[in-house]
Order: sequence, then structure tokens, then C-alpha cells
Amino acid sequence: MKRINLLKAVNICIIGSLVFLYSCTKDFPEINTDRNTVATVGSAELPFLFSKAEASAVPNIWNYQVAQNLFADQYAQYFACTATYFPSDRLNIRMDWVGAAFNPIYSDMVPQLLSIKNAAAAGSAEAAIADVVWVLGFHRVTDYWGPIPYFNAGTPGNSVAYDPQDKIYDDFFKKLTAAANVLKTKTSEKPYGSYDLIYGGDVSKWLKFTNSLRLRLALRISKLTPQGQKLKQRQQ
Amino acid sequence: MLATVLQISSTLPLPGLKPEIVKNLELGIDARFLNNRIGFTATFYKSNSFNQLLQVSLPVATGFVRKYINAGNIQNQGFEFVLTGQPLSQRELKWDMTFNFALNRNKVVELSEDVKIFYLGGGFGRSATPVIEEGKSYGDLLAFKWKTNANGQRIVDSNGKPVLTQAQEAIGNFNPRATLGLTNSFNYKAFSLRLLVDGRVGGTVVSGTEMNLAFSGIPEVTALNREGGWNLGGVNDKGEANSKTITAQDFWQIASGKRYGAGEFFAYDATNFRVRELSFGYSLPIKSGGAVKSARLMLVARNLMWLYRGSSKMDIPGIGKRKMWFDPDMSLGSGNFQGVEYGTMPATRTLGLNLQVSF
Repeated sequence: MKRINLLKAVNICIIGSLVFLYSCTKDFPEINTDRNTVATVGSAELPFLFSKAEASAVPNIWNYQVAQNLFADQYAQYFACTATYFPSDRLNIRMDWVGAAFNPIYSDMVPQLLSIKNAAAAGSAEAAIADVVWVLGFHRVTDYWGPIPYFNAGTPGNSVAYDPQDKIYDDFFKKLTAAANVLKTKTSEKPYGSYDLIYGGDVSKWLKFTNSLRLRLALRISKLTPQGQKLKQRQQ
Repeated sequence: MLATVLQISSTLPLPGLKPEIVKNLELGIDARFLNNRIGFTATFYKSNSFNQLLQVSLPVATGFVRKYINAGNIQNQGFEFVLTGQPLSQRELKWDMTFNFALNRNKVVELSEDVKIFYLGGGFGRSATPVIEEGKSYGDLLAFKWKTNANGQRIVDSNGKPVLTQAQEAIGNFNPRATLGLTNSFNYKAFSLRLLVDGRVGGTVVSGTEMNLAFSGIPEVTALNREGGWNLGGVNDKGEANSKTITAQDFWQIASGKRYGAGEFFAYDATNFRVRELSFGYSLPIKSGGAVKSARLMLVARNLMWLYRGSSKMDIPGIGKRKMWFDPDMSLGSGNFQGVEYGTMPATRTLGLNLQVSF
């Protein structure tokens, strides 16, 4: 009798521990899913991503000070610096400041825009505006540095290839022209709605901005290539 | 106005994440003699941490700022020693002593295929940057230095001002070579007295506060040579002796750069000894059988006084070494970013009176 009882007890123990082990692994994926983050990007997430991309296309908050005020604005003499320990007004580049004009474009703008381009329908107003913001962000970077990582931007790896500036400018015009053509046909839509921090989804304003940006870029290369000359004339 | 945005994480995940493993080898001895009146414990250890989870930088053009890696093999070996003794053990007078001593040596045996150097402070410290580099030690500090030539002579420019290095170079390690402490407690009848003295030997700490202040001539040392100036010595880049005279302002503004200076000028030997704690207690006489079982009054003082503090590591020609004016315990941060004091709150001294009553 005693032996049987013992066996029974052992069995219960084994079964009990099996249940216990099973329950340990049953909810494994659920336990390891972070409920505070969005795991996949669908159409519902696009407006939120777009807000972030738009807010990052021009360096914001303190990045604006170091990227814009302490370099370009001083070189163009819009700003003057009286702090003797700020070297950038003497054409002395502080490497840890100048990155503010470069880094946020890649780390804060590019990933959101690439995700939007992956998820939004081709030929949609959403995709077109994302391209315009892409150019808005990148034209400032290439104007600062010339050749920059562009066509492979946002691809994980230990390094990203640099692209020549004329190829980048060609792509700018290609993107803006295509975007303008799409936006012309979508003036009744409200892409991103109130999540569009600049124009609140007003397509006609985006169209105007797209053409203004084309003109600005055309002016910048107007003394360089026949293509730029032509564009400048066409838009006047 | 919207406040909610979504963004793709700027940290590249590590799909094949491995758990960190520590292999530890320890050898110890615990010995007591003469009815436990004297004893010691001694421990030798060697521990190697593998697969440590580190975040390293990625080129931002990838769209990610950093990634996780399972890195390397970090080795600590050291020795800990505690000696306890009771020199006096009478019915009414007791004297207990504890002496402890520890040293640790660290070696970064291996980091990873891609990463050979890892900046713990973001890569560009305002005065010094802690760094992990393969083959070196955890806690090494990099900073801009006074440039020297191949013969070790300090270089000055054509005006006789110091020339700084182009890159940050090693100036020391923030870890102590050894730590030690001595506790003495005396009990006589109802009175007790306890004195703890401790300290550390070696290690480097950089004063970013002094660096910042020196730009504006606030620290006392900047008053030297303020008028008239002095010849700093050293040689120019052709190896010719320096014949020019500079002022304190010339010197300290180059050394400090105000917010981003050359840490070597403000690096101190962190060696220090202090009276860490002194307490004096008295057990009030309580009649047994009452509601109150015991009552004890205690006067406690912490961080009471310095016995010794190190000096600046650089012996500036014509100025000499400066005594450390701050508490090296207050170095910035408590994590990996140590060895730099930059606008840190001063250390405090505590004086307290305790009354402990048991019912």
C-alpha cells in the first residue's frame, strides 16, 4: 500500500511539474511582446510617422541652433557670435556640432519616410508628400556636404555608400516632378489630416511648396548644368 | 496641437541575442586565532564576463544610431583582505579593530570583430571621456593634452602659448589602484567610540568645474602671473627653446577652452584619505522592569575631515602642482561615466544626534 501511495505521489509530482513547465512556455510570445510599442506599421500608423518625419526634415529644437545658427547663419552673416569660446564663426568646425545638420535627417526623418513609402499606395497623395519632405530634408544636407549617403540611406550595415551630388540633385527633380504631377490630381484629398504639422493636409499648399522647392533647387544649380537653366526658365 | 508621433526605433535590434555569462574563480581563506581575538579573511578572484550587452554606434546613414552587440571578454582579477583584531578585551574596556584592503585589476581582453574601442561617455567629453579599448582597462580616460615632441618636450607656438594635441589621448584611469579602510571601536562601560578612516590610492579624476572656471580666471591659481607673465619653457615645433612670455590669461584660456578644454591640465591624482565616520555613544541607565527596555544616545559625524588629498598630475612650469580642492568621490554619474567632475554638487558633511529607545 505504502509503495503505491509513493508512486502516486511521484506521479502527481511529475504531472504537476509538467503542467508547471507547460504554463511557463505557453505565453512566451505574449510575455515577450512589448505592449507599449507598435510592432508593425500599417496605414493607421502613417500619420504619426509623417508628423515625426516632417518635424525632423529641418533640424529642430537645439539641433537648429548648432546646425543652422552656429554655421550657415554665421557664414551668411545673418547671425554674429560674441562668445569667444564658440569657434564656428571663425570657420572653425566643431565636429560634434556640425553633425546636428546631418544626423537627425538620417536617424529621425529617413526611417519614417521609408516606412511610409513601403506602406502607402504608390501614386497616393501620402506617398507624394513623403517624397517632397524627403527632398526638403536632403537638399540641405547635400548643400552642406556635397556627396552624401543618399540612395542607400536607411539600409542597415557597417557603412553606407556616398553618392555624387549631381545624381542626388537629379533624383530631387525626379521626385518633385512626380510628386507635383500626383498632387495636381489630389487637391480634394486631405492626406495625413491634422497630423500634417505644416499644411494640415492641404494638397494645393503642398503643390505650391513642391514647385517652390523645385525653383529653389533649380536656382542652386542654375549656374551649373543646362538642365538647371532649363528648369529655371520654365518656372519663371 | 498634436503631441503624439511615432518613430522607428533608432536602435537596431540584435536577433541572436545571447545571455551574458560570467566565469568566476575564487580562492579564499578565513582564519581565526587566540579565541577569535585575531583573524583574517583573504580572497583572490578572477572573473571573466562574456557576451556583455553593449550598445555601439552605427553610421547614422543606416537610419539607426546604435545597435546592440554581444561583446567580448572583460576580466577582473583582484585581492581582498580583511584583518580583524581585539587588542583589548577586558570586562569593562573593549577595543576592536578592522582593517580592510582591496585591489582590482581589469583587462578588456576582447570586444568584438567590429568594435575595438567603445566610448562610455558619448565620445566627446567636455573635459575627459571614459573609454573601453581592447587590450586596455575599463575606466581609461581620454582627453586633449599638451602636445609633446618625440623627446617628450612640451610644444609651444610662436607666441609661447601651449599647443594642444589634435586628438584625445590617454590621461589615466578612474579606478583606484587600491582601497583601504581602518575601523577602531572602543567600548567602556556605557560609552562607545567608533572611528572609521578610509581612502584610496591612485586613479585619475578630471575637474571640469575648474576647467570651466579657469577660462574666466576664477580659481586662485589663475592669479599667478596675471600681471607681467612668465616664460612657460618648452620648445617650438622646430625644437628651439621658447623665448616668449605669456600671461595667465593666455595660458588658462587655452588650457580650459571654457566648456571644452584639455582635460590633462585639470587631471588630479584621486588618492585621498579621510575620516569617514566618527561616532560617540552613551547608553542611558534604565531601571529594569520598566516600560523602556533601553535607551541610547549617539553623536555621529560623517565625512568629517581630510587626512590627505592628491595633487594635480601636471606640474605646470612656473606654477607647479595644485592640491586637489574637491572631493573625488563626487565624480560625475554613478554608472560608466566616472572620473569626471563637472559642475558637481560639493560633498556634504553630516553631523547627527540619534536617540534610540527600545520598548
